[in-house]
Amino acid sequence: MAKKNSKKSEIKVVNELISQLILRAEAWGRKDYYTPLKLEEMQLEASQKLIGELLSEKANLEYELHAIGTNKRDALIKIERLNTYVLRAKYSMQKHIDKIKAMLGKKIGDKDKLTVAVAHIGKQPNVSVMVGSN
Amino acid sequence: MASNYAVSANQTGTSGKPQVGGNKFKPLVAEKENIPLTSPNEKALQPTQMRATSASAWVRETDSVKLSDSDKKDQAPELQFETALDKGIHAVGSAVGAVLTGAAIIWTGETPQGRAASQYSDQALPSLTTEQEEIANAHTAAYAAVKNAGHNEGTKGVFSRAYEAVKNRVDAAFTREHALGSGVSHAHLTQKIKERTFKEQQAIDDGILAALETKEQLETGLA
Repeated sequence: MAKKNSKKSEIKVVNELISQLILRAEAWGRKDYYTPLKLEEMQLEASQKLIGELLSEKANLEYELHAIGTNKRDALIKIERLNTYVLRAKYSMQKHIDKIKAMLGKKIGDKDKLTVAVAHIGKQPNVSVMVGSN
Repeated sequence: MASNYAVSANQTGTSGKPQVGGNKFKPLVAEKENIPLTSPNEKALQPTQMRATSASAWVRETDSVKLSDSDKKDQAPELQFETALDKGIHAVGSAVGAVLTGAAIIWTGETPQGRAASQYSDQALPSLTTEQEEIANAHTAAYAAVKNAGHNEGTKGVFSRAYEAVKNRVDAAFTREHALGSGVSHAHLTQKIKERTFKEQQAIDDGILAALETKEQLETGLA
């Protein structure tokens, strides 16, 4: 329970840090640059980077597992743990993707109306700028 | 009749060197044989007729291909065509150049914003003396200190006092007037402040990214 609380407080500190940095960015002329969508996209990037690092670590451990003279049991345990972390990271990444989609969806508005509008635009005849020979 | 005008790549001109293409040779052939440049049955090729291909059609539409009236009066039909062709080639060359530049931007990932940022450091300005450089740097540092403390502006207590302290220091020693009075040009100050602004923005961007990575690790249970 104590561990969970400390993690929560750590996340709180990080959030405070981010909000302070955003204020600093505004002071340096980047007002309205870090929108919630932008931050979500940045977090998605961070999540993808994390997954990449975890997978790279997993590849190293698998190499270690097949190498001669290494502790196979330890390597196997570490791989199992890593698999869990990878799953969590993937779940988190999916959450960010869903959030971004929801944010974009709000901007787009009614999807059915949008589909009709897109189909309508698609039917417009193409105007050629080419001049044919006389 | 048309075959009289045709000059192959192997034929030689007056200099004895092989000449490629018929247009350059035409006046010579015409002079020797007293043949009119345009036969009665053949119409001279006018710039308006450059629409056989899509490229020439596009070129014809551009301003660079249009001949002025004086050009048209002074030039023989063949020369009119050559001038139009030259201008057309130039226009196509420019268009291709623009496309290639666009492709290069995509290839290198260099955006106009990125280029604008790099321009700050590339801008050629007369060099400053050591003393002027120090004053300019001090001014930039003071400017940065005010900007960084600026987010606490309006708050009470310690932060407010810290901001006031920085501001007073700046007012006392490193004002813009002080820097300009010592012979540092306005362009120098602007360039230095732009450079500093860009660096600060980059640092903030990196900081936010690092914080988000930490947050992600905490949420995943890694940290």
